[in-house]
Amino acid sequence: MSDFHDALHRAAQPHGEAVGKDLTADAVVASSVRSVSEGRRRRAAMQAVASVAAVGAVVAGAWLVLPLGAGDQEPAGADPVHAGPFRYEVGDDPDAVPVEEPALLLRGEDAVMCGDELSLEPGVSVHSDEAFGRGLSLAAELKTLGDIMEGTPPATPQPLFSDMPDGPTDGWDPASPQWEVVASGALRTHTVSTLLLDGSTVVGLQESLSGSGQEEGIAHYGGGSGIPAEGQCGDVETREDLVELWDRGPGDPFTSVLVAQFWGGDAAGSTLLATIVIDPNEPANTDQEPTAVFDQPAPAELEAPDGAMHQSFIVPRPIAGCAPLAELREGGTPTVDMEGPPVEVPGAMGDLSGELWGAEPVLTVPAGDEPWFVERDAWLVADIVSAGIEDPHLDWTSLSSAQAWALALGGEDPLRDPECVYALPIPEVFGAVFLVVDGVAPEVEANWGDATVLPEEMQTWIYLGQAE
Amino acid sequence: MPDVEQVIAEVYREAGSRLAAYGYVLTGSRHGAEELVQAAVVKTFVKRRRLHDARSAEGYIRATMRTLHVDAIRRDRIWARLVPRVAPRTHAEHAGDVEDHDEISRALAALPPRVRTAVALRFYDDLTVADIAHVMRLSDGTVKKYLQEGRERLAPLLGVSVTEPERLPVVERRQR
Repeated sequence: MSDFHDALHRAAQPHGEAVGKDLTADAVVASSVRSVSEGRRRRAAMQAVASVAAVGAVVAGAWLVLPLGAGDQEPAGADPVHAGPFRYEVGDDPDAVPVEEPALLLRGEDAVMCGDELSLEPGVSVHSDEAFGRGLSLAAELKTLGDIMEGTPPATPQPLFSDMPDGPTDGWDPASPQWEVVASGALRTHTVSTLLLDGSTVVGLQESLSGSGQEEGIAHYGGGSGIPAEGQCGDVETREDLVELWDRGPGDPFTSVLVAQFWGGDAAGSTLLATIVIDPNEPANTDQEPTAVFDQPAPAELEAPDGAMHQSFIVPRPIAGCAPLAELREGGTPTVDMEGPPVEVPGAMGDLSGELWGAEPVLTVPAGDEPWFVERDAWLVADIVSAGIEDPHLDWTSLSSAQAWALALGGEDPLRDPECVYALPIPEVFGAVFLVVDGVAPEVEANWGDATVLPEEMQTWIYLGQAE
Repeated sequence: MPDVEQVIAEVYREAGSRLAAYGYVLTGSRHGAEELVQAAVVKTFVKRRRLHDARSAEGYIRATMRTLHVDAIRRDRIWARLVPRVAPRTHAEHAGDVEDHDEISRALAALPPRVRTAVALRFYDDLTVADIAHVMRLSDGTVKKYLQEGRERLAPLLGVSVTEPERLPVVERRQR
């Protein structure tokens, strides 16, 4: 292999050794797996979930692909449950919500325990002025786990104990009740727990989701939260304890509450920002599923041009490739969230048909009436391109004799990887056709409110219509 | 038959630093590497309890690390697109909390996640461009571009030539 290969391995080696040393000393993972395999330490199984949940926090929802969770101990056969969806958030206005002491803590020496008496109201309570403007929110929906995991390959839970084929299993139970949870915000750390209540007394508790965030930007952390059994209050050390919890089954989800707490600050000291409580007995307060934040927006509904005015979309410029724009279109671009202001395309536009233009100009613009995108890199993108380059580059030519600009196939394509196989651009196109121009209109740039993405990194997709 | 815990201890002892180094190149941070290895070990051993030695387990764990990480990137890109007005511009999942160890660490952390991942899959997993494209659901051309970008940014720090020929297998462009 190459020097680069060897050099990269050498560079990573000391980091690997440093981390590897910690791994050797880390008993959490080993004991977590052992607990799942042997069923001796139920609590360690929870830590296994937490361990993956820590990465789940980073990957924002990895749990959806993992057969994990507190449903491990629940026997099958429970009735389907449903409540919500719910969504609560801490807003931007410091005057809207009073700052108050927390009714409970989910972490630390004074963390909530079974037997504690609590009075919890559903909704948001704020504990620091720093909580505002961070987009802190908790979205959740109570479902039967099998409904949450619908569409994924079903897991087959295996008995933890060979002598108890109907006993505790090592996998989730599709019939168990679960909270589907997404916590969001610009935060340092967060914890989500489910508390089982008998009146105001905590009779079961389970931490389900925790992780670290990034205070400089909002992120979303997805996961599942099971319903603890009555008496499930912490470590489960023995097989007998685990079997007893299994036999008892999960608590009544409608006597449970879901609680999230958010912390800000740094390593030197963290600040409890806010608590959000969700009660499944409350009516749903949103119609959006918690995990909707992870869904790709729907493709935009295209509108036929109105004379010279054309629907437009602001789309990030892709990295060069063999057909980067065509790949974007194939992937559903543009989406509803990308729509920009209408763009005027003056001059004479070629007719849209299956045999599109060839060497003829796509567009001829009279001098003195040039749109903002004259002389910028431009491409043609269509739903279906029968042959040749799938997203051909267009070139501007000054027609001095006619005092006009013509846009036709040609020019050097900065988005085309030189290693790609060259194919003559003689396409027949069908479906939606877009003129893609590099950059955005001056009025769009002037009103650009996004500090995280620059207008120079964007392109404007102008919808020309349907080719048949 | 060895105890699961014994096998995991053996994995950590025999392969821990290799797995962590792989996780480090994937994520760009020690913290990210540690979390990724731990998550992959849990997932691997919960799913495959018949792994009896470190050698057989290491491959499964690496594959699980790859899957978890690529999935992380994909989901992260989705949310970054959903909230482009609030997301940090250089948001880079695990690399966000990178430790400032050395120049190469900083360069790795600064790589776009997909570029870093492509480099790790090529130069740590020895995957072909076509395999990387399949794993990351990208075109071959895009993968090549990412690998080139990774080489250009890392090679000077690694003390090797950017222009050193990379002995990639010849891969036909897949038909779309």
